[in-house]
Amino acid sequence: MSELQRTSNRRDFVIAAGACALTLTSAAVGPRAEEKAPLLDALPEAKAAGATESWETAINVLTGDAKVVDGRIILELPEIAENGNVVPMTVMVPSAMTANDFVRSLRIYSTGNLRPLIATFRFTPDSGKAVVSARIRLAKSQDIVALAELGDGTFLRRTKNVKVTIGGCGG
Amino acid sequence: MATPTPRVRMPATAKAGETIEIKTLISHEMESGNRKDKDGKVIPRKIINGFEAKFNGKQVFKTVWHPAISANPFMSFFVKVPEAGTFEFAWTDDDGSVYKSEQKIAIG
Repeated sequence: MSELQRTSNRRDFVIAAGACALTLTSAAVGPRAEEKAPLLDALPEAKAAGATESWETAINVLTGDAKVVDGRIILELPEIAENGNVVPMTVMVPSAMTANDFVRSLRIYSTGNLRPLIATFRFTPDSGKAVVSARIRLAKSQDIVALAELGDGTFLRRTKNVKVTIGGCGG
Repeated sequence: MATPTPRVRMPATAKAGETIEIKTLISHEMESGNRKDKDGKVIPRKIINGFEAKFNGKQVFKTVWHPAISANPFMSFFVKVPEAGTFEFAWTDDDGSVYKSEQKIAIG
């Protein structure tokens, strides 16, 4: 079941189920076969952006050789979250948001959850401001990493630690 | 579960070119797929995996959600309003359902 649990969405699930059926005879190729299926190329969010790998791998795959600058992003999270099921988060990426200078996307990674990627936000210059708020689940005390991709291909990164009293995601 | 109800709060009017905040909320259990029921069986994942905002037919904001988004997901974001028009919001469920909401904004 573990492969199925790791799959990140319904389409992945269908693809993985198909891939399992195909690879039954070639166990050596095993579970990684579905990752090479061409259909997944259409799902960059599910794959390259780190729905399943470790958070370090996910960030490295995404940033590649691009320049990554620490700081500038304002990552508002409580220092101590009493309930890991509902942790309020606000992320601000200072930017003029013009056609030449804007924030293309913002990804939020967890370093302590089962799956590293929490959410991806995509902006356009029409967004006016690259600011989002949401409520997230944290399984335990951990660092949260915000990674913003700018219009010129460089990245900004910011890490913040959150202490969680009662973890979310569990069962 | 009852059909998720989207709620959107945003100003009814804005100045041309003003950046407004849009707050959205939708009722949804966001079952993570990690939990087990009392017999030890995994409760299958069922979350809203995406949200998209369009203004007069043009996509202005999009997000992809993973199971670490809390139940009854709240989200706020900003959009620049160049002219009067209609915002369309759409949430996509794992089961393929799309929950929609529309809001008009006037320039004034």
